[in-house]
Amino acid sequence: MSHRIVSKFGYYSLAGFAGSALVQLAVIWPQTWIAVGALGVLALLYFAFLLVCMQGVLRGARWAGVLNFNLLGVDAIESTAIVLLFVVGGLWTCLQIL
Amino acid sequence: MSANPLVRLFDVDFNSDRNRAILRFLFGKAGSAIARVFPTRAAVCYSGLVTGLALAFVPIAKEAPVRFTLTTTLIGAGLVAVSAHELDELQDDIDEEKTQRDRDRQLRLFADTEAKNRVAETNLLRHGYELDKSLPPELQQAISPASPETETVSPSDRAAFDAAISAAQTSQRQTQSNHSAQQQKGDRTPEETTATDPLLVSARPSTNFTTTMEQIAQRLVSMTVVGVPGAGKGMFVSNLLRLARQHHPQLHIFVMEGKGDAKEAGYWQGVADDIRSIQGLDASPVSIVAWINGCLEDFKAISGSKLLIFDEVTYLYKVWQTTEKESFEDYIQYKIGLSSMGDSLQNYIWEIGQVSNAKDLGVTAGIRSLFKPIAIVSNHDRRAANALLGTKFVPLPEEGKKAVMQMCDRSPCGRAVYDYVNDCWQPMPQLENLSGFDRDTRSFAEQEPPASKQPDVRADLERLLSVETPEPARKVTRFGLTVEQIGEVQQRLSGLQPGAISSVKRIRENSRLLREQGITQANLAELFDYLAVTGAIEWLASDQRDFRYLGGL
Repeated sequence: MSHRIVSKFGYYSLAGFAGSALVQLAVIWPQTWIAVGALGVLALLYFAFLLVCMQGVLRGARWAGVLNFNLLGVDAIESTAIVLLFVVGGLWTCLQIL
Repeated sequence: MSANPLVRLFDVDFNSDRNRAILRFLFGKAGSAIARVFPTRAAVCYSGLVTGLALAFVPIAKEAPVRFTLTTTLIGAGLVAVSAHELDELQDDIDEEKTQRDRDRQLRLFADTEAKNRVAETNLLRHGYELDKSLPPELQQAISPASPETETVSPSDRAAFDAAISAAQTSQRQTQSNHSAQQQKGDRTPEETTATDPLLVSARPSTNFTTTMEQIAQRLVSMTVVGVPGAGKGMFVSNLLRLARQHHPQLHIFVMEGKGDAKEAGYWQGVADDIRSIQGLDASPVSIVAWINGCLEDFKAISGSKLLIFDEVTYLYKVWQTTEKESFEDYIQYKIGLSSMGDSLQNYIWEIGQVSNAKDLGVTAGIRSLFKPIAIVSNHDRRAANALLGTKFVPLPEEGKKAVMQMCDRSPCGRAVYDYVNDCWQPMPQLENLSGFDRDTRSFAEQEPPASKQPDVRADLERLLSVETPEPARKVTRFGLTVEQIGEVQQRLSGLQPGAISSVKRIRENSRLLREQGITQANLAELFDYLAVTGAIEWLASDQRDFRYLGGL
């Protein structure tokens, strides 16, 4: 256990702050809800894409050799954590404020 | 100049020296205030992280106005980002410091070599060759600047010098031929002298192993004695020790013996000043390491010329480096230091083990080669002998392994030995078995050594502490503690100066063994009460926590 792990956690939590701040901004400035909705759809697409990739890898499909867990040069677990924290931050703020 | 006193106060030029001095002062004050609250850098980072998270989410949870929560979220995010970055930097610094430490360690190793050269150079300049006691007297007389007569002779008188050398060589040859017919002196009887059978003469006729042993004993160095099991390492070292004792009466011989076999106690009795023994196979790794560390501490504390005999290093080193690598590394450093500077300080180590493979000894081949090699093989176990001969620890004769095995066959005891003095293999002569137990025939040569004479420090302690009939050392549990634990307390106490003040708590906390075996302060109460009764310690207060060590252990 080193400081590096806590530092990583700090960086990832910024994604949660971003989701939360976006929702709060949308409350003040309603036009931002469009951006919130768009980002929500993108997050859903990401998870759908991730599921398809995982199934492909599990079935040993040829295309899964390209679309493996090292998505876009970022580790799949890290990118999933960032998207997930962004969504959770936004949803939690929605529930608290609305 | 403005009429406004505030503008005049801060000056028009905000980047003026005065303003910068004010800012420096304020930042300095703020910095020292933060440092007082958060004494370490890590504490600042973690506090920032927690504060950032709280700022970001607590106002939202408390349903504060959205404008306010948005502000706090952004501030919190900033704080978390800065803290995370600082933590990253902190870890980088820690890693760099660690790398630097490793680099320093490597540099110290190199510096050791430099120091060795410096010591050799100083000795040469200050004493000439006088320090080299292995030189024949004729040469010493010719070279030594000590006497006024020799001072009058010019050191550059090459002819006189060469004459002295040739005289010394002639004398040495005569001495060697005489020695080949004699048994080594000391506690050996004339009946046990080495026979001058021509078959025993080495492959190099000018060398004879008995003479070699004399030379080794006369000119001590740190060395590693390696041999297959039952090859006679103990016999060789015990005989050599007695010769060393004759040449160096002041030498403090400290034996660390990891076998704990009563049958082999005779090797060390009567010659060693300090015998420490442990039954390596029965003891736990933690207690073995504690025992080694304790012994080494005691050895290092000895002043003057000293020799450490470290037996069964193959097993003990393996246990040591697996259990506590750090102290093992420290010991390796100590070894390197001794190999470099030990000669001038007259501090030596003789390691005795079964394998010569550097990896098994926990060192690199370079570090292994710092100690002079002695290898013994026997024809009783040709397979093991071949394995040892296959390593790079010692060179083989030109004829190969077969020649070494032939020397074994020629030897009266079926053994061949390699020594660093002559840098060759020789048949080993029949040496006196000082242990009294012949491992070749599995029989006692004379009489079984009594078990009570086993050199076991724990048994000694048990006897020291016992008030009633002594029981077998390893099965006894007294004062609610095992012998090992009592031994640990004794070792900790004997590390104190008489008159020093300590506490039961500190004794317990300083001992890794006691902590790991879950011994509490209360468990030690009975033993300390007993020590107070016997006058080894004196309680400072009625709570029986702090005591004064009175010595005697």
